[in-house]
Amino acid sequence: MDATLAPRETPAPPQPAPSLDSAPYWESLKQGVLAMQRCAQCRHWQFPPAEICRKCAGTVALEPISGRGTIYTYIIEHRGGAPGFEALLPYPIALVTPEEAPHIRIPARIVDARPDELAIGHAVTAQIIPLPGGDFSIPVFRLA
Amino acid sequence: MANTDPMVVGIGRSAYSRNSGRTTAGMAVEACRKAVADAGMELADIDGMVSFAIGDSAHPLEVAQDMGLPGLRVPIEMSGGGNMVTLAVAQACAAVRTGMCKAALVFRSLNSRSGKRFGTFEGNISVGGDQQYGAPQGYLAPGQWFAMYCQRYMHELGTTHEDLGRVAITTRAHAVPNEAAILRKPLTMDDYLAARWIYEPFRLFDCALEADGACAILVTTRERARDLARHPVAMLDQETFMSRNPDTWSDMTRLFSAHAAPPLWERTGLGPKDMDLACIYDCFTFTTVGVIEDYGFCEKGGTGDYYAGGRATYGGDCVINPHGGLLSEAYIHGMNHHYEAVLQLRGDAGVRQVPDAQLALVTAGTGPYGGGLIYARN
Repeated sequence: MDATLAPRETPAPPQPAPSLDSAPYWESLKQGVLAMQRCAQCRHWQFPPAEICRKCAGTVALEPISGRGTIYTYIIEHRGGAPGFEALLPYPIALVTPEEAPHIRIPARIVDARPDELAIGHAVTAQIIPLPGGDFSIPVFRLA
Repeated sequence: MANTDPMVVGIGRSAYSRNSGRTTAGMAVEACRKAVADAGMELADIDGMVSFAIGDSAHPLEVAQDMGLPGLRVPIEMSGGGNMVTLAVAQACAAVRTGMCKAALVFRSLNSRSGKRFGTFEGNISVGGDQQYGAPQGYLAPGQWFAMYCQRYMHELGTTHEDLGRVAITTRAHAVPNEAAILRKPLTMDDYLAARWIYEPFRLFDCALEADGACAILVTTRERARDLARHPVAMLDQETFMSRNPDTWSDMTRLFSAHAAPPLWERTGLGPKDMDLACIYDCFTFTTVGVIEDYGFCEKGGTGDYYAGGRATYGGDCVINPHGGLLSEAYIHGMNHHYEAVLQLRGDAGVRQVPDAQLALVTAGTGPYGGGLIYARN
């Protein structure tokens, strides 16, 4: 076979580099659970994770969330500046607000949706999928 | 007025291009030496340098070394992008005002087209920090973050694609007579709307023109400025507001400028009506929209009409980006906006001179981080 006709090896998508504060979030996703940090003291939800509560400096721990939320805003990615997504172009990415914590925005792809179906305020539900190229899982969302 | 008031006394730049074939240090030295010569100062007078970078520039100590200086009293490299530029200028102004140094260069040098391109990544990468959540979704470019803002803005305030297009078209028209600008062909609405999507709702001409080059300004005190070569331009005041994570900014219809504008206008007793020109950091057309509305040049959601009515150009209320901005002159990370403001206030802008220009607003940044400052001819 002509080597020039061999399929190019597809680069993997960017992998997360967890910190001590974010490692439990990624570990939870690996177990198939989308969870957010919550303060034991004031019950504030927070994302991205931090060592302590941003509101009251209390102790935080992960709690599972329902995965139901709404689209705060979204874009359609046409350029493919990051490796590993060429086959998906063009594809939508949204900032999703979970129903438990409307101040939180989770950046995630919206899957199985036509661009013209997307709208700010549309209800979505989370699905956890493996991230190619390593040992991580990520949340993506579908229109509800 | 005080003898210690900070004044811009010199400006310099390299050629702007898409492929410089040069190092960032080499271009920075050229821009800095030109700024010193423009002011009529000696290299030996320079004892401060401020710059900002994201691992893509030359450090002030490297530039000082390559200018043959023995050392600096104030070498500052701030970590950040175009959101930092007014604060970098303010830092140099504070240093000369307080006597930490006598004369400070502020420069930016980058190969943002031929070298490190923002939002372009290759190979297998790992991403930490705030971006570790977006990166595995293919979401890690500044253009994507601010396209998110734009979509929400359009939803809430009714801004249209044609409104964004009007910003691109007027900004391009300003670049046409500018010999330093890279894009000088007039842009029509058809051209704008027919261009490819980058990060929808952004099309090609909504995005800054990635470029290579360096630009510098030289700051010293009013006292020192008196016997120099050029009419000095005063930096009256500045106000900065910066947060960290673009995604978690609470209200995407109000940018950093909603925080930074009111104190600046209040302290100076000035307002948008007083500005003869404004060099608005226009990394995207949308940034100009959000920022000029927050600074009160027009009401929220009113930028489309403001541009359509000719109010942002010659003969209107305020000439916005007479050089063509980041969109059409070059993406020199906003340092070129300071060059242009100073050139205009000196009366040295030639065919694109804003008549009797006395006051200019210059901004930096978009989304959750940025600032603004006011330059005055007198």
